[in-house]
Amino acid sequence: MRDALALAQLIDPTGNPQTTVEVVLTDGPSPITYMAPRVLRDATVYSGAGFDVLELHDDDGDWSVAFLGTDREGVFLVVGGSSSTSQRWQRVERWLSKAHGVARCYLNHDDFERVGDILATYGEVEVSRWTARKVTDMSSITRGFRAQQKSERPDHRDVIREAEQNMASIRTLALSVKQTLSLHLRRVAGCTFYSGDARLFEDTVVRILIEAASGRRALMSGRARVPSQAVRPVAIHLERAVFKSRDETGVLINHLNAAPNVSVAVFHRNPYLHVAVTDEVDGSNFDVMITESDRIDIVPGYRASVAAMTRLGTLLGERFGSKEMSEATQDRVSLDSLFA
Amino acid sequence: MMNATGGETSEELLLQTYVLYDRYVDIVSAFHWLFTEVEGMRETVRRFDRYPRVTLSDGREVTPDFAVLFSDGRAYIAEIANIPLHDNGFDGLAKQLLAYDEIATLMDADGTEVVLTSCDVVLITRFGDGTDAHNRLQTRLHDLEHPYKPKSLPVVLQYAHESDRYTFARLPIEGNPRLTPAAEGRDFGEFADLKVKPGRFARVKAQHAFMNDPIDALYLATFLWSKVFPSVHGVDDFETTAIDIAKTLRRQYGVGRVTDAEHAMDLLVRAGLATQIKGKSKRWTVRRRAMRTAGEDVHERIAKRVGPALDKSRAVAESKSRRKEMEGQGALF
Repeated sequence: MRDALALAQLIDPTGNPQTTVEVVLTDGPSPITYMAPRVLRDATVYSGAGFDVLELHDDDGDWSVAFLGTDREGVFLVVGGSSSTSQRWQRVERWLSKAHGVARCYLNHDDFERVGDILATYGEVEVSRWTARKVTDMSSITRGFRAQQKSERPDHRDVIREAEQNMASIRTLALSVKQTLSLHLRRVAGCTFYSGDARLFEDTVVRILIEAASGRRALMSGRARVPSQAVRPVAIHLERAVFKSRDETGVLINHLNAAPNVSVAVFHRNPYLHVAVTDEVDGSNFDVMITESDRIDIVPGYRASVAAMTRLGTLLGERFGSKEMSEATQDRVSLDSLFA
Repeated sequence: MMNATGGETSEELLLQTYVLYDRYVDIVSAFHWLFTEVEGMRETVRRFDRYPRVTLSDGREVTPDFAVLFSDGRAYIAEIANIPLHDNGFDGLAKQLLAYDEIATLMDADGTEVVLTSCDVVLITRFGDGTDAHNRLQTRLHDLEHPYKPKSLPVVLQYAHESDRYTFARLPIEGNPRLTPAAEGRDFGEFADLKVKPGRFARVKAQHAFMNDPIDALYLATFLWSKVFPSVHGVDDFETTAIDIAKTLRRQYGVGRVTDAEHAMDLLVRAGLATQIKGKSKRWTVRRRAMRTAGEDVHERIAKRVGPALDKSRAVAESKSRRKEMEGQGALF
């Protein structure tokens, strides 16, 4: 993994140190296994132990993107020299979103915050720009801090708090560790190295994202139902209580219905919601239930791939502001409390 | 929306029974959770049978909606019912309850026959229907001509379906029996205002999915399409039979009847999502690719596709019936 930046500079030898990294999950094989044949037809593919590189050509010339295995099973880095907002990288993201065995990972709040906390041990962390999204109306908030205001720039905890006060979930942070490292961090597990200590970037930022993605993969693995055994749901805990009415749970139904390759059957809605969600690519299926206004439960069916379940978690977590995804637990209830 | 003859359309009727069946699954799941997971209760329960089939002493088989066998030999035999307005329909319900009143033994999970020390028949109705149900049963009990003569009237519980919970309560009128309490432990015989939030039983519902009544055809068609077929066959077209479907349902959810599978497949055929294989009455090709995934709930799409065809069949049947009546009139005059 330490060679990710070196490889990125090898595949993009323009002297531009900027390196974009996205962390993705699969059921096991390299993401390239799931890429559409059309993508691979237009590329030259170089493969080696633990990596695949696609060499491509467009009107602006040659460019490349690499898929690197990590020391965590089923966790891969997608690495390139383009900015995360460039057309080239957006193409990469489109390929990934269409590759049915590949899932992107919406980071837990604590994992996202931990990146800043660890960087803070190497020097003062300053945020130069942040973006967030309000769950209620999907409006975006963007704030930037000009260089001459440097002394007033907030740290990562300040901006996360400010976003939360605005009822929004942080999505991206452009931050720097004074004279050491400059980077862009994204909630859909990804980061871009701008300048500074590449080793620190890999050992802290990329490492945390890999570990977070690996934790998510473990959470979503092995949950397909088995006859006569209890179901094993996963809970998406939301930042806010967003499902208080029938109309609000309807937003979730519409969101699922608008997603590609997903079909939805509503069994109950009032606002307690029970829907069956089917992944129309690999047949994975889930019961999605809302019984609390700040939580979504995903109950896997008899077919539930890691990729499909992670994709569903990301689809819902990103839209409705997930704070954390974890094993769903159930409170113990006494008879007396029910008749109270 | 009304159809040509002024009644509800088939699409609306399909959607109404779908909602009702789901509500009954909720109610059974709430009791399933109460008797198997709640501290202070689960310790007293020997078996909660979600799909009971009980053979009476004369060989008749009855299928109440659920049965609870307690460690001390007590049992509750429950029926959830929409109270029929028409007396013939209500007599059918009374006959069912009378048969439950004869239950003297239940099977334990390991197949041991347990002789009951008491057996409470429990009738669960919608809030507002309980008094009517109780009074009509009383009337039949006291009518010397009527065959409804149980050892005891059923305990009537009512349920209210609120936005965030179900509330269950014993009908608080004189003459409605109390549930037989355990010799020791808490007496909840009054069963006053038991409140169950869906979050309590959601896991049980996802696990078991159905109840003991014949599965509503649209509910099962939707369930097969969204969960069972993709789990077993993925997303490609495939062939299946009613027997295969019933076997899979029994393996995965503990209940599955061939007739239920046939009714659900009939809906999928009418919706253009399956075709019957020529010469084989209970074998179909399921055409998963025939339904685009975008934009609308699966059950609504099936109902929308099936509804007009059913309306047409109903209209033809009604017109034939009217013609027959007219022909009959012609003969009379």
